Amino acid sequence: MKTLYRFLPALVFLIFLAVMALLLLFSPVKEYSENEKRYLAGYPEVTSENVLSGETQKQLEKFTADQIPGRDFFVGINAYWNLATGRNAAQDIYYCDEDYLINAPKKLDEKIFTDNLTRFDQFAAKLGLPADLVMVPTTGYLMDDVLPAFHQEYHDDYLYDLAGGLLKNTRLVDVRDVLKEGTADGQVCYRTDHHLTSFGNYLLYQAYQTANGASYLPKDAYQVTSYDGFYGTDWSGSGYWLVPPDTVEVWDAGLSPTVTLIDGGAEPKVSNDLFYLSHLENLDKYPIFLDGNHSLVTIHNPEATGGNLLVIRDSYAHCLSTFLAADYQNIYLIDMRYYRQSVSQFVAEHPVDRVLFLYGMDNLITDTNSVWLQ
Amino acid sequence: MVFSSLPFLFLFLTVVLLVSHILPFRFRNFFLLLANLVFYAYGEPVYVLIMIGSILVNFFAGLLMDKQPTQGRRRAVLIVVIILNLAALGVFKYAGLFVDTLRGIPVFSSLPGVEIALPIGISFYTFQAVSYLIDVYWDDCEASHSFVNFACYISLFPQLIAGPIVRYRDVNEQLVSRRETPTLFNSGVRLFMVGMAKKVLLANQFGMLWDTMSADPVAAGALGAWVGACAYTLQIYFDFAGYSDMARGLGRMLGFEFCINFNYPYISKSVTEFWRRWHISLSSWFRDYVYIPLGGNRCGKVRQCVNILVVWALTGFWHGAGWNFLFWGFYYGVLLLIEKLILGRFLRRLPAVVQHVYTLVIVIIGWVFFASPDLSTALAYLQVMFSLNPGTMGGLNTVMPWLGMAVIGVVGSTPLAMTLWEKLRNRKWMPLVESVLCLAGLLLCTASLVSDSYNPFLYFRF
Repeated sequence: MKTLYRFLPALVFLIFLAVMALLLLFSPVKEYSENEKRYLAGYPEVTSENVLSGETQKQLEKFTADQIPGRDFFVGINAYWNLATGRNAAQDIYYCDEDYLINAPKKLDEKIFTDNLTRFDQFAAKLGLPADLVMVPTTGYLMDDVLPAFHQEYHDDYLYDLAGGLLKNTRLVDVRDVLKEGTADGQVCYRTDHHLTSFGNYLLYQAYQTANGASYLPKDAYQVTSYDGFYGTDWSGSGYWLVPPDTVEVWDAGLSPTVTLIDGGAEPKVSNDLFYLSHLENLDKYPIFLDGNHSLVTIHNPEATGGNLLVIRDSYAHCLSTFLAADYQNIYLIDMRYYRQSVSQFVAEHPVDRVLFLYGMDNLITDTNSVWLQ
Repeated sequence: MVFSSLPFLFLFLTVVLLVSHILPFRFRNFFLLLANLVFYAYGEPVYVLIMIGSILVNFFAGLLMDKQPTQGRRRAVLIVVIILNLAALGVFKYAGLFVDTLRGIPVFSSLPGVEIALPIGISFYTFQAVSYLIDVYWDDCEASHSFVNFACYISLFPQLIAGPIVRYRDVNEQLVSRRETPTLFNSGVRLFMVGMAKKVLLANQFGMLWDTMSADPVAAGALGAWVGACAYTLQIYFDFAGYSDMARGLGRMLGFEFCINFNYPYISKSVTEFWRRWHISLSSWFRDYVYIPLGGNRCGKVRQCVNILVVWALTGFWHGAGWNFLFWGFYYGVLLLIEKLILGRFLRRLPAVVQHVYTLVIVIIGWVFFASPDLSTALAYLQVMFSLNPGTMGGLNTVMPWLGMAVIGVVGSTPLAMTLWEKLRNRKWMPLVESVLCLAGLLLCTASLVSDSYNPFLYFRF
C-alpha cells in the first residue's frame, strides 16, 4: 500500500489516459451539439489517399476534439481557468457583474460599416420611399456599468456619428438614450444572449413609432408570460456553465396575423401565430419569436391601420416584429444573409410604403451580405 | 503528431505505454521503432521515406567506417556521408531560401522558384546522425551493429521533432538494456506533466498575446510592443523547454534518460551564461563538432574570434531558413565576443540586478529578430519599441488582463518551484499533492486543447 501511495501520481496519469481513451473509442458517437449548434465530426475516413494527403489525420484531430468524453465539461473548465487567471477582459465574451455575459467589442471595420450604410442609403434612394435605419447598440455599450475592468472600448457612439454623416436618403433613428435610460426600469438586454429582451424591444418599438409620428400600443395592452431556462448564444459560446439562465417573456397583444415563413427552395410555412413556443424545449429560446432565421417572413394583419413595411434586417428584428405587427397591415422581413433574389423586384410586386433597416451594431461592422441588396 | 494534442495523449501514448510495458524486453525496441514510424508518418506520411533513407545510409556508413583498415579511409567515408547528410538538409531546408535570394539578383531573376516543404525534425535527426558518425570516427563509441536499435535511436519519438539532440554514445547502452522502474516512470510522469503545462497553459497563451501585438505593432505602441516582445520571450521558452521536459519525461516512462536541455536561461547574468543554459544539447553539439574541430581557442585569439562568429552564425541558421536567423546567430556571436574581450570583466563588478536587466534586454531584442518573418519586419517592430508612440490599441486595456499570467510566467521561468519541490519532496504528503497537481494539469491541459484549436508548435520550422 505504501509503495502504491508513492506512485500515486503515475497511477493518476495512467488511469486518466486509459479511461479517456476507452470512453473516446467505445462511447457512442454524438452527432449534434446543441450548445454549438453544429454537427460534430464522426470517425475519420481511412483510405491510403487520405492518409498520404494528411486528410485522415485532420479528421482524427476533429474527431477526438468533438467526441472527447465530457467535451462541454472541459470547455467550462478552460473558461473558468482563464477567468481565474485574470484574463476575463482578454476573452471574446466578458463575464460581467450581475451574471451578464457580454460580447467583447468586435474589431472595428469602418469599410464594412460604410459599405453597408451606403448600400442601404442608395437602395432607399432607388426605391424613392421613406426609409429609416435603426442600429441596435451592443449590450456592452448599454450595460457599461457591469463590464469588467480593462475591457476594450465599444464603438457605438463613434459609429452613430459616422452614420450621421453617411446617410442622405435614410433617417437615422437614434435609440441609444431610450434603451440606456430603459435599463433603469427593467432588463433591456438578456444576460446570456446578445439580443434585446422583450421589454427592450418594446422600448425600441415605442421609439420607432414615435419617430414616425405614429401611435403605439400601451404597455398594458399586452399579456406577458415568462418562461425560465433560456440559455442564449453568449452562454453557449462562453463556457461559463454556472451562470443562471435568463427568462424569456412573450408579450402577447392578442393578435392573430397570417405569418408566412419562406426559405429558398422550401415550401412556405403558414401559421397564425407570432410566437413559436415549440422552441421553449431548447436551451436557446430566442427563436420563439418568428421561428428564428428565415430568408423572407411576411406578417399580414388585416386589422391594422398602418401601411406596409419592408424590413431589411438581421435577427434583432425577430422580436421587434411581434410588436410592429399590431400597427402594419403587411410587414415583409428580408434577411440579406439568406435572401438572394432582387429586393427591388420584390418591392415592385408588393405594396410597400416604408423601409426600415434594422441591424445589431456588431453585424454592421462584420456582415457583408448587404452586397446582395439590389 | 505533437505531444500536446488529443490524439497523441489519448490514443497514441496510451497504446504505446500499455504495449511497451507488456511486451518482453527483446521485442521492445522493435515495437518502439514501429511506434516511432507511426508517430512520424502521422505528420509526414510521405517524408517518412526520407527519414528511413537517412537511417539506412547512416547505419551502413557506420558499419563501413568500422571495416576500413586505415584512418584515412575512415575519414573518406566520414566526409562523404556527412556531405550526404548536409546535402539533404540543404536541399530540404535551405534550397528555397537560396534560390529566392538569387532570384532577387537581376542575372538570376529567371530561375524557377523552389517550393519544398520542410520535413519535420530533419534538423534534429540529421544532427543526431552526424554526431553518431563523428563519434564512431573518433572512436568515442562503436558503430551500431543492430539495425533495429540504430533506427530506434534516430527515430525515437520523444525527441524526434523538437529535441533534445541526443547522442548515440549517451544512449547506446540504454538501447541494449534499460531498467524501467516505477520510480523512473513516476519521475517521467512528473516531467511530462510539467512540460505539458508549460506548453499548453503558458506558451500557447503567451503566443496569443504576441500574435495580437505583432500583427500591428504601430497600433500597439511602445508599451504594447515591449509587452509583445516579452510575451514572445516567455512563449518561446515555455514552448521549447516544455517540449524538452515532455521529451525527457516520455523517455523516462520508456526507460531512457536524456540530457537536460534548458536550465532556467532567463536567470542568466550574461549572454555567455544564457547560452550555457539555453538549448544546451544544440550549443554543446556545435561546440564539440564544429568549434573544437575548427581549432577552438587553441590557435590564437584571432582564430578563436573567427571560430566563435562562424559557430554562432551557423547556430542561428540552424534555427530556420531565413536571413533573420543568420543575423540572430551573428548578433549573439558578436555579443559573446564583446563580453569575452571587453565587457565581461566590467559586467561582473556591477550589481546583480544590472547584469540581469542587461542580459534580458539583449535576449528580448534577440527574440524580435527570431520571431519576425524577415529582417525588415523585425527592424520596424524594434523601431516601435524604442519610440514614444503611445499606440491606439487601448494600451493598458490590452495589457492588464495578462498581468496574472505574466506573474505566473516570470515566476515559472525561475527555479523557485524547483527549489521548493526539492525542499519538500520527502514529506509524507508529497505524493498526494503531486497527484492532485497531476490531475489538475491533465484536466486543464485537456480543457485547453479541447477549447482551443490554437495549438501550433513553434519548433516545427526546424
